Formats: sequence, C-alpha cells, structure tokens
Amino acid sequence: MDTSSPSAFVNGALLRRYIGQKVRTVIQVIGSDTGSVVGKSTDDLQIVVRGPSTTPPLTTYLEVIGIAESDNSIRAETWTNFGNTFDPQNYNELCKLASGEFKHLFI
Amino acid sequence: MYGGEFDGNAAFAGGGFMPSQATTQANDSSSSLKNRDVRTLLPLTLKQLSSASTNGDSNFSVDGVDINTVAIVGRISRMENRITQVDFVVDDGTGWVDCVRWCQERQETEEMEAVKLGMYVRLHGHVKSFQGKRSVNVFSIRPVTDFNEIVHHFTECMYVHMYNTKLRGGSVAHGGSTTQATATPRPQMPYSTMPTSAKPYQTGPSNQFSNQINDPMHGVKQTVMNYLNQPMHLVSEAGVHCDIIARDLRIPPLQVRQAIEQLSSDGCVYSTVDDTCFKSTLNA
Repeated sequence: MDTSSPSAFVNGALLRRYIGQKVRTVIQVIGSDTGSVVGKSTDDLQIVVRGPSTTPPLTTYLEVIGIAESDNSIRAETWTNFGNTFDPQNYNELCKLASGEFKHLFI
Repeated sequence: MYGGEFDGNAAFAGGGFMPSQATTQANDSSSSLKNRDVRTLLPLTLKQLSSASTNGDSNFSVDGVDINTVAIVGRISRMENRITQVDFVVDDGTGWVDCVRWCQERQETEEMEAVKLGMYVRLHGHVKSFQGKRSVNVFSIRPVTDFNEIVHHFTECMYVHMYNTKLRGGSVAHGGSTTQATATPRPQMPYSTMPTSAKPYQTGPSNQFSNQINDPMHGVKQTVMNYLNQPMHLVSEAGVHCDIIARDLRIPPLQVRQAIEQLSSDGCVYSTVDDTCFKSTLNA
C-alpha cells in the first residue's frame, strides 16, 4: 500500500497548479495527430496531450494520466477511453472538490 | 448494502440523516464499543485507507467508523495469476494497494477472468494488515463499464466522509475506537435538535418521516418543536395557545397553525384544552 505518487484530479483551470506533477483529467477529444491529441477540458479550456506515437481509436471522452507540462498540456503515461456517455460537469465538480475542501482524501 | 439491511427505497431517503427507529444501539454500554452486529461497507479512496487508524492488527477505523468491508474503484496496474489466487495491484489515483482474490470456486475464477490488466474495476473486500503492510482481501470484483461510476465513487467517498465527521457531531475516534454514543438513547423525535445516538453512514430501514430537504415547513416545525419541548411547556398541563407561540417566536400565526397541523398529524404535538392549545408529545 502506497500513497506517495498520487495523481491529482484536474480540469483546465487547475492544471496550472500541478505543473511538473502527476495529474489525471478527462478531455473531450476535438482532434488528434500523430503523437498528440487536442481536447477540451471539462471546464471548456483547450488541453493538448502528448502521448505515444500510435494513437488507438478514441471515443468522445478520454482520460489522461500523466505529468503536467504546462498550464495547457500533459505528457501522457496512460490514457483510457471513457466512452461517449460521460458527464463532464460532474467530473468538473469532482475536480474542484478534490482540490479544495476534500483534498485530504485524495492527495 | 451499507448496513445489515438493504432497502432500495431508503437510499438517501428522508434527507438521509436521521437515525432509524430500529437502531441496533439500544444498549448504552460504556465498555466495548465494537458492536459486532453492525457491518459497514465504506467507499474509500486509497489515501483514506492508508491513513485509517488502527487498534491492533486487524481493527481499522476511518472517521470514527469501524471498517468491515471497503469499496474501492481503481485501475489494475499489476496482475499475477497463481491458479488458486490472483494477486493484483489496484491504483485509484490517490494511491495503490496490494489485493488478493482467492479463486477456489468456478464462479470466482470466472469473475477474475473478466478482469484484465489496465482495466478500471470496482471491488469489495476486507482490509488485512500483515507486518504493518495493508492489503485487501477481495471477495467481489467487476469491470467498470460506465465511467461515470468512477466520478460517483469519489463523490460518494466525500459524502460519506462528510457524513461521518460533521453530522455525527464531529466526534472523531481516538485510537480506532468506535464512536457510537454512550449517552442514554432517547426516543427518536424527528424535529428535535437534541443529540441522538447516531449510527455511522448506513442505509437503514426506510425513514418514515417527511423528507427534510423537500419540506419547506421543516424549519418552522423545528422551531415550534424546540419551543414546545422547553421544560416549562412540557410540564404545563394546558399546553400553549398557538397565538402565544406565534408571538414568542415572531412567526406569522398562519405559519404556526400550518406547522402545528403537520406536527399533529406526525404525532409530535397534540391539542389539549381545545384546538388552539398544544403540547409536545415528548415525555416531560
């Protein structure tokens, strides 16, 4: 059991707080290129995800876990298709609570 | 699901916060507080689990609630199949934990075969500790198919945490003991602000009283009840005239009348001399 390298739940606005640290977020995929995916965060900001050169088929929503490189880009270690019926508003509120009032339960 | 009895209607029923009438904590023992009839199922983040206080090797508690069973949602980051058991590691973003799933029955093996490395899963299990290292002995596991479940699980962890800390009067345990109130149990008055022996977060038998959150009269009713529950009004035979209640509480008489009608049909007050004077049903 280990909690030494958690990944913080972030949305677009919270990403800048965790630059250089491991984060996780869900984006709505707008476009993809070789090695990168451009998406819209749950609070409608643009996020660029740099990942492995072969991008598998992507669903509408994509969860990315990786290191925050800047206030709008992430270097992905893992990504998971979250399907097409994900609720971004709920996730957005979760990010706010997990970085705020209930931070001690997560990080 | 959360308590010993699962009532589908009762999940979050009645504002969810009133202890049920059929509480199992009828005995106010000041000795061992560990009530073995109370089985809890707590949704937890792995961060919460690792910071759970312990009282001996197998007694864990979080926010003052004894841990029996935990619910975890996370990704499988490592997996080793050893025929009779499967050892795996679950990572939920707040931490990771070693898990083991014993597979002796065919149903158990089939359940594990549906679970693959890298998948998000929901698992239920017991927490074990060996030489200071905590692990989970899993008895139920399934893949997550709708990813809103992940958001729901974490939201639920926050809710249960808030319920167990704030709504139980903030009585957080020391050294892992439970916090079932040792005060004499009182009759469950729905609008009373007196302390009652609160159970940890569980869905118990359905709450018969009106939903507090949707009830616009709740605040007024509570104020009127607190007024009528004062010792001087409890002992008075004649009760209190409702105009006097309105004047003293500075609430419009019509609202007081309405509140008293509802309280009377709930059995909390009764009319005494005539139908303008009322008394609380609480024993003086």
